[in-house]
Amino acid sequence: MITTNKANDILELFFGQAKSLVGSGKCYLALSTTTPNADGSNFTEPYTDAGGNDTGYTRVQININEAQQYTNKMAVPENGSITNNMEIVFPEALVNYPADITHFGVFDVKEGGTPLYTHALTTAVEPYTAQPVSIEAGEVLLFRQGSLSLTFAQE
Amino acid sequence: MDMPKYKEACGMAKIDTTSIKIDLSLTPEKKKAQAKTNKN
Repeated sequence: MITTNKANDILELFFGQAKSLVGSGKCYLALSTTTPNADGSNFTEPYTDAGGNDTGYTRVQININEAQQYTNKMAVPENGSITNNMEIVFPEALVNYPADITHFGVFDVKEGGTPLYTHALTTAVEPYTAQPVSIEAGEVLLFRQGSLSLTFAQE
Repeated sequence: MDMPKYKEACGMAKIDTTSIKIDLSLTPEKKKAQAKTNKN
């Protein structure tokens, strides 16, 4: 879902109360072990395991990153839809994640802040039902090309 | 050194823009009726 503040921003744009959407120019993909609320709260990232040990998790920047010399991992939107055309790879887990990853979120900052958009992890094929992923020590979570997609359905 | 084991995740999301709802709970007719009731 588009979280509340960003939905309000979009409506302001639609109805002439704002001239443009303001963002940081950065986009990070994040993971949550809990179901986020409409306002983006309850987005729980797996930074540590149950014992407080660092899992090695960080958000992954998915738009152009000149410092790390990679371009957008998301293709240019077409027909109201955007999809990743490069793999998106999270850091290798140092220890087991504290719980299954159930949702992803899109942020415009590397740490903290409120997600602009959240959604459940899904199956790869239709119907796209919820499919959490467990991550143990030594494992790497990745979205293969074409596995992260957001569509504004217009039918 | 062990190679990491890759685990695939998917996030296929769709926002249905055709289901935007307009709240008609206070149509002009209803407003008039409400005002009349309030007057009484």
